[in-house]
Amino acid sequence: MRRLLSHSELSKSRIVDTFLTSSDWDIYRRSLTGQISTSEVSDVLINAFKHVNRQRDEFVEIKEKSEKLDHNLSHLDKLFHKSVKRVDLIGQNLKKLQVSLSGLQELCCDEKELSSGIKAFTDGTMHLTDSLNDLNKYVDYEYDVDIKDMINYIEALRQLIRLKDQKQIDYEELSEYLTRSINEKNNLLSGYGSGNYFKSKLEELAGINQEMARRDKIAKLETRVQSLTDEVEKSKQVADEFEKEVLREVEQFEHIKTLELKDSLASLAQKHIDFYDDMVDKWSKIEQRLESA
Amino acid sequence: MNIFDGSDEEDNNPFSGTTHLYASGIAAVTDGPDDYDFTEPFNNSEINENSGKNLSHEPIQEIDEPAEEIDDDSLQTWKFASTELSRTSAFDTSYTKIADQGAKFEAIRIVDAGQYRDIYGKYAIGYKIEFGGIKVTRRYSEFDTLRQSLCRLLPTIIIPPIPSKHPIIKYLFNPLHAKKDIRTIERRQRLLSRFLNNCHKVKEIRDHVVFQKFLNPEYYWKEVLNSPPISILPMNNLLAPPLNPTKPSPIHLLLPTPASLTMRRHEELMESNDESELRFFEHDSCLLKYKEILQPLNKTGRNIRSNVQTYSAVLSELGAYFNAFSLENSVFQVHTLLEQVNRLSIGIEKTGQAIDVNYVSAEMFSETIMTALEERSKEMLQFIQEAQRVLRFRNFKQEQYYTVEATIEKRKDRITQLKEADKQASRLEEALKLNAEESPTVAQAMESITKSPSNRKLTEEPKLGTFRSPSSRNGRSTSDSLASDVEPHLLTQDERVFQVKKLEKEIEKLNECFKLIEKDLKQVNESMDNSLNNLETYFHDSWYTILHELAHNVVSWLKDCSESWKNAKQSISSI
Repeated sequence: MRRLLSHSELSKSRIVDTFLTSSDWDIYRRSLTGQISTSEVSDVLINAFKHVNRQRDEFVEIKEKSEKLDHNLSHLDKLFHKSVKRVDLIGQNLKKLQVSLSGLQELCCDEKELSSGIKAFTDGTMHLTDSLNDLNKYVDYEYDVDIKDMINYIEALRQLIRLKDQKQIDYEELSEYLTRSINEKNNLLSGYGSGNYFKSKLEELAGINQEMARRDKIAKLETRVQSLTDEVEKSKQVADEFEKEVLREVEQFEHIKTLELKDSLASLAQKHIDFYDDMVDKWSKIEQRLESA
Repeated sequence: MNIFDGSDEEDNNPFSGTTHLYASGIAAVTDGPDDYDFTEPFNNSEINENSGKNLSHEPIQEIDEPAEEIDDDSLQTWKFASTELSRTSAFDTSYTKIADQGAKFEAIRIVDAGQYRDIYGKYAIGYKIEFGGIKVTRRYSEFDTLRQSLCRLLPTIIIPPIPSKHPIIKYLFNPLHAKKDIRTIERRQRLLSRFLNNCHKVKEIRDHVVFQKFLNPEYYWKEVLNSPPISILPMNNLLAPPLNPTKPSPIHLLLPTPASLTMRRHEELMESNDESELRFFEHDSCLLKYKEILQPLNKTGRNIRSNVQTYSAVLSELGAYFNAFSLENSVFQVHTLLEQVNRLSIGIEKTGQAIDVNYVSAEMFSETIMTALEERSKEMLQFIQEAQRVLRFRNFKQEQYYTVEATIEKRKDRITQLKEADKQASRLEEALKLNAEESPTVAQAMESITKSPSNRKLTEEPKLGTFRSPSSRNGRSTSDSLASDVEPHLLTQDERVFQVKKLEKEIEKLNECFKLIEKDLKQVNESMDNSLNNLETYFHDSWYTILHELAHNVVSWLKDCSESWKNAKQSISSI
C-alpha cells in the first residue's frame, strides 16, 4: 500500500490521479503498459549502446547523484540487515541468560532478597528481549521496506531519465541524418555529384542519364530533407518537452523523497524512542530495586 | 553522560568510543573516594618507569644488611598491624556495603600498569599497587607465585583466583608488549586488583606475613620466595599442621598419606548423618550446582559480548553511511526546496548521530558485560575450582583420620588375638606336657611346632610391607610391627609377648596420631567451613554487585540512546 501511495503521488504529478480514484484503474494501467511495451522497448533495445552526445549539466548531476543515492541506500539496507541479524543473536543470548539466571535464582532461593533481585533482573531481561525483538522486527520489515521503496523510486527516476535520453537520442540521430542529407543535396546541387567519381562513371556506362538521375536524386533528397526537418523539429520539441517534464518530475521527486524520508526517519526515531523510553522506565525500576536490596 | 556531549561534535571516529572508555576507566580508578588520610595525591599521567626506578634503587640499601632482616620483619608486621587497626573499622563496614560503593572503593588499588624496569634492569610489565599510601610494583609472575605460595601456606583457605596465564606458545612467539597488548594488560590490572582485594578481605591472608611482604616495596619478591616461611614449607601438606604448615610437628610426619580417595567411604559418611559431614556435603553440592549454572552463564556472557561488539561495529558503519547520506541525499538542487533539503540533511545527520551514540554505548555496554558478567563469572568459576581443591584437601585429611582409626582398630584386634592365642597356647601346652610324658613322638612334634614359626616369620617378612601399605608408608610403623599379620598361634610365646608390647607401643603412638588428626580435622573443618561460608556470602554479594552494575549500565545505555533519538526526532520533525 505504501508503495502504491508513493507511486500514486508520482502519477498525481502526471495528472492521472483521476484514474487512481476511478474504478477502471486496471484498464488504464494495462493500456499504459501496452503502450510502453510496443513502442518504447524496441527503442531501448536499439539505443542500448548509444550515448547521448550533448547533455545539460543538470542531467549529469542528477545521474551522478542518483547513482550515489542508490549506492548509499543499498549499503544502508545491507547494514540494517546485518544489524538485524546481530540483534537476533543477542536476543537468543539474552534468552539463554534468562535461563541461567533463573537457575541461579532457584539456587539462591534461601536468600529472599537476592532471589527477588535476580527475579527482577530476569524479568527485565525478558522485557528487553521482547521489545528488542519488536524493534528489530520493525526495522526488518517496515523500515527496510521504506528503504527498498526509496531504492525503487530512485530506479524509476533513473528509468525516466533514460527515457528522456532516448528521446534526445532520437532527436540527435534525426538531426544528424538531416545534416547528412542536406550536405548530400548541396553537393549534388554544386554539380560534383556525390563526389564519387567511379560511381558516376559506372552510371554513365550503364547508360543512365546523369542529369536525370541527379535531378531525381535532388528531388528525392529535397523531400527527404523536408520531411526530416519536420521530424527533427518535432522530435526536438518532444525532447525539449520531455526534458522540461523530467526536470519538473525531478523536482517532484525531490519533494516526495524528502517527505518520505522524513516520514520513515521519524517513525524509525519514534520506534526507537518508544523502545528506549519504555526500557529506561523498566530498568530504572530494576536498578532502584537492586539498589535498595 | 558527558562522554556523549563530547561526541556530538565529533564525527564517527572509530576510536572515540574506546578512548572514551579508557579515559573514563582511568578516571574511575583514580577519582574513587579514598578512605585513608595518608594517601598522597598522585598524578594520573605519572609514568610507571619513574616509580620503577625508585623502587629498584630503594631496596638495595636495605638488602645489604641481612642481619637486620628479622628485626625488620617483625617491625614491618608491627607496622602493618598498626595500620591494620586503623583500617579494620572502616573496612568491616565497607565489606558488607561493597555492593553499593562498587569498584570505586577498594582497600588495595592497582593504580597503573605498564612497562617498568625491574631490579635487575630488565624491562617487564609491572602493576603498580597502592596500599595504604605505599606503592609497590609487581609483575604478573610474582602475583602467580604469591598465589601458589598462599595455596600451600593456607591449605584450608580458599585463595582468590588470578587471571589465567597467557598461553605459553603465544608468549614465546609474541611476548607481552606494553603498547600492543593494552587490553590484556588492562584486563590483568583489573583482575589482579580484584585478587588483591579479595585476599585482603580474608583475614587469614590479610594477616599473613607473605601477603604483607608482597605489598611492601622493601622486599624483593624473589628473596621472599627463597626465605622462610615459603622455603621451609613441607613437601606434603597432609603431613603438617593444616592451619600452619610451617610449624614443625614431628607427629604429623607419622601420619599416613592416602594415595587416592575412596569415594565409598565418602558415601558411608553421608549415611552416618554426621552434622559437619552433611554441611560439607551441602557445600559440595552447592558448589557443583553453582558451577553448572556459571559455566553456561560465562559462555552466554562471552557470546553476548562478542555479538554486541559486532553489533556496535555494524552500527558505527551504519552511522558512517548515514553521515554520507546526509551529505548526498538530493539528486538535484532545486532552489525552492533548498531549505527543506538542508533540514533533511540535518535530520539525517542527527539520525546518524543517534546511531553513532548507539554504537558508542553498545561498545561501552559490551565492555561492561565483559567486566561485570564475563570476568566475574569466570572468577566465580575459578573460585569454585579453588574451593573444590580445598575440599579435596579436607577429604584427604579425612582419609588420614579413618586410616589411623582403622589401623588402631586393627592393632587392637591383633593384641586381643595374640593374647587369646597366648591363652590357647598355654592351655595347649599344658595338655601337651601331659601327653609328652606319655609319648616321645608328641614331644618331638611339639618341638617342631615351637621352631617352625620363626622360619615362617622370615619367609613372610617381605610380604608385609606391601600388605600394610594403606595404613602407613613412613617406615617407622612398618618396622614397629613386623610380624603382625602372621597367624598368632604360629608364633612362639616370646614373640607374642614381644609383639604385644610393640603393638601397645604402636597403639600409643597411633592414639597420639589419632588425637592429632582428630584435632586437625576439627581445625580443618572449622576453618574450611568458615572459608566456604565466606565464599557463599561473597558470591551473594557479587551477584548483587554484578546485577546492580549491569542494571545501572543498561539504564545509562538506554538513556543515552533514548536521548540521542529524541534529538534526532526533533530535527526530523522540523523538516
